[in-house]
Amino acid sequence: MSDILLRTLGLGKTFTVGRRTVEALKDVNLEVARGECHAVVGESGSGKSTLANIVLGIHPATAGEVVFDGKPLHYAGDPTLRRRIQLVQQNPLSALNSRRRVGASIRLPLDVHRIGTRAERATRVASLLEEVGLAPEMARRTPASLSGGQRQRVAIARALAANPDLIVLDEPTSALDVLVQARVLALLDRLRRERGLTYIFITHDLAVVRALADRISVFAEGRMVETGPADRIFNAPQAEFTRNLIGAVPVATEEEERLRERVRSMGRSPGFAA
Amino acid sequence: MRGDIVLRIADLTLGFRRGRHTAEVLHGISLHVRRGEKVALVGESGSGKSVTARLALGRLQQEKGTLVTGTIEVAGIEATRDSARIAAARGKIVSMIFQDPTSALNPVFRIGEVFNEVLRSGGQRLSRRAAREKAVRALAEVHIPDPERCLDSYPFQLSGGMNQRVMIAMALVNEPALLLADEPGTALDVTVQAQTLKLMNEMIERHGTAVLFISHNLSVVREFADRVYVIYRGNIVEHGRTEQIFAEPRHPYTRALMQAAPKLVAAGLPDLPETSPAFRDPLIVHEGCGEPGEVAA
Amino acid sequence: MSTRPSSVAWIEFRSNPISILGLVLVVACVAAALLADWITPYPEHVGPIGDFTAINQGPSAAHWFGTDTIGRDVLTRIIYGFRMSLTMAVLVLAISMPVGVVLGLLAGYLGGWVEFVLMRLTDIFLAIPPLVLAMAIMGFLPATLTNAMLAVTVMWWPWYTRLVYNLVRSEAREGYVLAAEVIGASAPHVMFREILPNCAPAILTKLTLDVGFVVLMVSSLSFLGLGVQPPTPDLGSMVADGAKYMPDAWWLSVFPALAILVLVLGFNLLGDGLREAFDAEV
Repeated sequence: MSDILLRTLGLGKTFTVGRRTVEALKDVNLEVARGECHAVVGESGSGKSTLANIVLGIHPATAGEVVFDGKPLHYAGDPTLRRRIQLVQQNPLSALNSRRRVGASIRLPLDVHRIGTRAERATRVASLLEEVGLAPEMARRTPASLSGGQRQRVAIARALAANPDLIVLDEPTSALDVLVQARVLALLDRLRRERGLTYIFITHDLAVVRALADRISVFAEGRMVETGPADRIFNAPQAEFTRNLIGAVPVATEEEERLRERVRSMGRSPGFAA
Repeated sequence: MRGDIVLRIADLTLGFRRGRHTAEVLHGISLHVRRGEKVALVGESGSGKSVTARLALGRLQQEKGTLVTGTIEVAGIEATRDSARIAAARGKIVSMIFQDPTSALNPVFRIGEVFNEVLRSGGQRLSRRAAREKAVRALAEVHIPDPERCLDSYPFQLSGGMNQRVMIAMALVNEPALLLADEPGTALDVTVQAQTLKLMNEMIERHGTAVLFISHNLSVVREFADRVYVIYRGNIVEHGRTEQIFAEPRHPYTRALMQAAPKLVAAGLPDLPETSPAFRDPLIVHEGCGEPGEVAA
Repeated sequence: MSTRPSSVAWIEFRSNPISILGLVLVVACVAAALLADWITPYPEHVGPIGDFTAINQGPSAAHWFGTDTIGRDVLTRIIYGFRMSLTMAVLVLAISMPVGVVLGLLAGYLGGWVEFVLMRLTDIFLAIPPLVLAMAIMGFLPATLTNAMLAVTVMWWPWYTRLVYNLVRSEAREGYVLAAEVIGASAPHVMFREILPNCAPAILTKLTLDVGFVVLMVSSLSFLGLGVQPPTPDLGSMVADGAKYMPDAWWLSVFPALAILVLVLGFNLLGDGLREAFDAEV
């Protein structure tokens, strides 16, 4: 059992907005293995953000539970959780405090959890900057003077600072340009392998996780419609929703067109149920 | 389809003056769009693609500190420095649709009220009833199931996909010669975006509008455009028909974009630089393409 | 936590002639207040004793702004009046600003009943016209300078609370606040070390504009006899006392009034300039 780092059991979340109730998550049974990159794919309203918020302790679940490293996930009762689970957000500009220098932002987890002495923290910040491909001198810069890609690297460095086990990445490259995105994805992949991290990678863009994800869970309207190894999800998607999703992605190469056609035609053949 | 030239841009430069410095954003770009053509302008942020669209719409020229040289002509109206004529023609001759439909529509007005405004600024003098009928027909054309109800709704009551259709309907109701589309559907789910593009294709074929489609997403461009201009840091670096560009991208920047785009098939992670001096290589034009007045390659 | 003003704001500030004018006026008034003992021609006229041989004289070479009914030099009393006004403004704001800001932070970030209680209290204070509220408070207290300042302090903090509350509510939705919370930062850390620095430009701008307003408020109270008591020189009292002699001994009211104008205008221009400079930073 110890190779499953995070598991949700019948997880559900209902919001009450005025007189309306919205079921953002229904009966979700997700398994994330230690050291894997697990992609959570869905469109708006799929519940993927709600799932992230529950895992990060921002909202409590209204049904079911989350088990992290064998124990029920309960932030109030376990102060180490805030060190072991981290977040990289979509918008790098808003995710960094514009009134803090970059080094101070990266150092924040060390300060909060009182890791190391002042001198040790400064050294650590410098080595983190190098690890994400930035010069150590950038610690003195302010976020406003950095590009989108650089800011996102800083946010990643901050997430790594306290040596977490699990990082939730909520659309980490959606706001970045194509070339920058490719670099940041490569960085994320390398960091995971080198440090043995576990990722929950949330995205609406299937193609982005093709190269990165070990396993993929597809969400629609609060339910998990399909889960499995990345290769299988792309080459032989079982759920109609997944097939529609793959079928709708715009593609630029012949090979991808063939894959897309193959997936579209799966839905039409009698062998596959909806 | 060789028709009249609806948008002609020649050696356009654009600079913004701040204090003593002038930041040059466009370094002399040329492009054209003919009637009925769908032309894409592809680039990343900071490439100048969005300001090009805004200049064609007549939105930047008059602002303090903007320096424009070269030529922009929209449907024969010269718009380089004096945007007044273009501004008057906005909605009639040239219109624009935006990335995020819900935020592009004023939230305090119902769709019907905005439509009336659009029709009025299009120079059409219609009675209340005639205007409403026209709006209903326009919404039906974009396959909105209950046009009457839609007209009485506020943007926040409709889905993103519906608002996108509404925006397309509004942009085309006055039969403009040129439609500018700035990353349409980027804010929408991929399934909705696919439907939106299909709808745009259909509408444009029916109305014969010329389209300048601005995007950072090569795959979307491939599915939509006839011709492609690739823009990098204020310079056009490659120009060709869609088939040519995708079969044989020649410029280092275009090739980098294609390699970097995430793929649905297992291809590993590309190892690419974020920038390279080769990206500043001069313009490459594919066979049979070229600007009007120039000798084709 | 480093909150050094960024160079973008400074460049914008110094290229705006209005801001520079404001800064010059403010510096002039502050300098006059600080150096009063040395630059005034007749420092002894601060008290109740003047030059009985020079009563009610118009502006002249000896007395640039004339003398009052007991022979005191008006210019001297105006300069000491600056000192009085600025001191009062500093004292009032030094207390009301921190109190107001902290309450606004607590109400905006903690929410719940804290927000409810604090903001309803703030609403009550803000609902009453400022001068009326100050007068009402003074109705309960003997008319001394200290009490006047107390009254103004008590009615001033809610403006900061309202300002900071609104700022905190919008900042609390930003990514960096979420990031700090996920990292495990405590509520006091998030409020004071993450959000507060982002409120600093607005608070600073308001502070500058408020100096002028506090001076006007105290001057108004003095004009009504509720603030500074004679013989202490205060710009508002001087205007009040001199009003009786208008238009004959016009210099008794006009010069103090102009002095108030210059002081308030200087701080207003400075505050406007700061606001534009900070806006340029965004």
